[in-house]
Amino acid sequence: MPEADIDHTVLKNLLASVGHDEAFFQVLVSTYLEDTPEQLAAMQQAVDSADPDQFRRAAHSLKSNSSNFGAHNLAEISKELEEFGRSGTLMGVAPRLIQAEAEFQKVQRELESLLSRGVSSL
Amino acid sequence: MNANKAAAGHILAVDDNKVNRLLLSRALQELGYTFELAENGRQALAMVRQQAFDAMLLDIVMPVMDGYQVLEYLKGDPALRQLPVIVISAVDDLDSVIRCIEMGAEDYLPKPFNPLLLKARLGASLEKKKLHDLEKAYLEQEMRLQTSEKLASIGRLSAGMAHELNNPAAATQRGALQLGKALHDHRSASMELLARPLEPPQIEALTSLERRIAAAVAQPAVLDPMQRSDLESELEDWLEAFSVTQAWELAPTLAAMFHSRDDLSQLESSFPRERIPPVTAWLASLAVLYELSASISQGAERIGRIVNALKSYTNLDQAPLQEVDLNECLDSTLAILEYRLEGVEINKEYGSLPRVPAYPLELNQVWLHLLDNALDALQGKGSVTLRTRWEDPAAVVEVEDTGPGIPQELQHRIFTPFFTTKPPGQGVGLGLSSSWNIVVNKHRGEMAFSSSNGYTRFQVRLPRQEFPD
Repeated sequence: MPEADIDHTVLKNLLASVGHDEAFFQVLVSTYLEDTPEQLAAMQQAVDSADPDQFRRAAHSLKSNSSNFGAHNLAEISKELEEFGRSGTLMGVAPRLIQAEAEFQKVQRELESLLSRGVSSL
Repeated sequence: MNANKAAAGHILAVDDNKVNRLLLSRALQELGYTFELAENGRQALAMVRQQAFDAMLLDIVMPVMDGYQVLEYLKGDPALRQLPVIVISAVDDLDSVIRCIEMGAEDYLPKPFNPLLLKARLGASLEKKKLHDLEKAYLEQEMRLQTSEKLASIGRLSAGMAHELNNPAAATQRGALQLGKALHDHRSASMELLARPLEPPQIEALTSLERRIAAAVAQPAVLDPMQRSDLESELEDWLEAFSVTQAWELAPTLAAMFHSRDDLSQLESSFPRERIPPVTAWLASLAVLYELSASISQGAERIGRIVNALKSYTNLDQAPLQEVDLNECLDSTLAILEYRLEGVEINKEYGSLPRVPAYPLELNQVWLHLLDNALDALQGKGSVTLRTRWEDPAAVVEVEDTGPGIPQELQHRIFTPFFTTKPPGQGVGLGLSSSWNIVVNKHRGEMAFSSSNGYTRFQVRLPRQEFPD
C-alpha cells in the first residue's frame, strides 16, 4: 500500500506545542480522523445541492486540519478543492473529491498505526 | 465552561473546526486565560452580548455567519467596538486577512497556529486595550476636572456679580424712595415762591443758579473736609442772617452746589429781604431733586454696565470659534472684577490688534485667572498693567503686577494641576493649569511668565492662523 507520507516533523511539532501531552495529542488525532469524513460528506452534499460556499468551507477545514497533522498530500488536494468552491462552480470536481477520499484512507491508516505504536515512536 | 475571570483575561474563541477549537482551548488554558468557544458567527455574537470578553479570536471561514459578518457587526456597535479581534486564518489567505484588518480586526494569527505567537499577539492586544481603557478614564477625569473648574469659575463670577450689584442697586432704591418726598418738598417751595409774581431779573437769577446746580451735580467739585466745613458754616451764617428757618439743614445742600457765599449773594440784589427764605428753600429742594435724579441714574447705569459685562462674558459660548477683539475681552473681564480693584492702579496699554480666531468664553477664563492671581498678589495695593500688541503672526497679551512675585523654587510648578499657594477653601489650584491648557492646546498659542521680587508678568501669545478643532 502506498504511504500517505505523513510528515512526522509536523506531528512532532504539534506534540511539542501541546506540551508533550500524549493523551491530548491522541484526542487531537482522533478528532481529526472523526472530523474528516464529515467534511468529505459535506463536500459531497454540496455537490448534490450545488452549494459552492458549503463546499469551499468544508474543503478549507480539511485543508487546514490536514496541514496540522502533516498530511501534505491531502492538504494539497483540499486546497484545489477549495479553489473549486471559490470559483463558484463545482463542475468537474468529482474526480478530485474521489482522490481526496482515497488519500484520506491512507492518512487514516497511517495515523491509526502511529497511535497504536505510541506517540514516542515519532 | 465557567465564566470566572482569570487574571490574564477572558477570551472568546470562534472556529467551526473541532480540531482548531481543541487546540485553541488547550493553548488558552496553558496561557492562563479563561475562555468560551463558539462554532460560528451567530453563536459568537450571542455570547458577546451575554458576557464581557477581553478579546476575540475569530476564524474567517465559517458557516451560518462568517468572520467578515461578525466583524462588521462588532465594529458597528458602539458597545462592542472596543473589543480587540484577532482573526485566525490560513497563511495563503492573506487577502482575507487584509480585508479583515481593514474592517477593524486588530491582528491576525496564521493557521496552523503557533502557541507562542498566540501568546504574543493576544498579550499585545490585551495590553493595548488596557491602555486604551486607561486613556479613556483619564480623559473622562480631565473633563470632570475642567467642568468643576468651570463651575468654580462661574461660582466666583456670581459672587462677584452679587457683590458688585449690591451697591448700585441699594443706591438706586434709596434714591427712588427719597424721590417722592423730594418732589413734594420742591412743590411746596415752588408754591411759596410763586405766591408772589416773579420779575424778569429775578427769574434770570433763579435760572442762572439752577444752571449752576445742574453743572455742580454733573461734575461735583472736590473739596477737602476742612474747606467743605468752612463753606457750610459760612452759608449757614448767611442764611440765618436772612431768617431762613433750619439754615443748618439747607447749608450742606447749598454748599455742595455753590463754591462760595458770593454765588448766593446775587440773590440779595435780586430779591427783597423777606423773599430770601422761600427762594433758598426752593433752590435747596431743587438741588436735592437734581442730586437724587443723578444718583438714581448713576446707579441704574452701573447696574446696566455690570449686566452687560456678564452677558458679554457668558453669552459667548453660543458660537464656539469666533473672531475676537482681545482688548474688548480684557475690558469685559476687568468689568467683572471691578469690585476687587479698590486701591489698585490699573494701567491699560492696548495696542491696535486685528481680530483673532478664538474661543471667547475659554479665553476670558484665562484673563480672569491671570487677573485674579494678580489681584490676590497685590492685596489691595500696587498696580496691574494690561498690555496688548501685535507681533505678526500673533497677538501678545501681557498681565503684569507689582506684587511680591513667584518664589524661584516654585516657578517650575505653577502650571501643575492642583498646585496652589492659597490657603484651603480659596482656590483649588487649577486656574493656571487650565489656562495653560486653553492657550496651548485649544488655541495653539504660547504661555510664559517671568517673575522676581516686586514684579510678575504673564504673557500669552495667540496666533492668528486658522486651526482645527
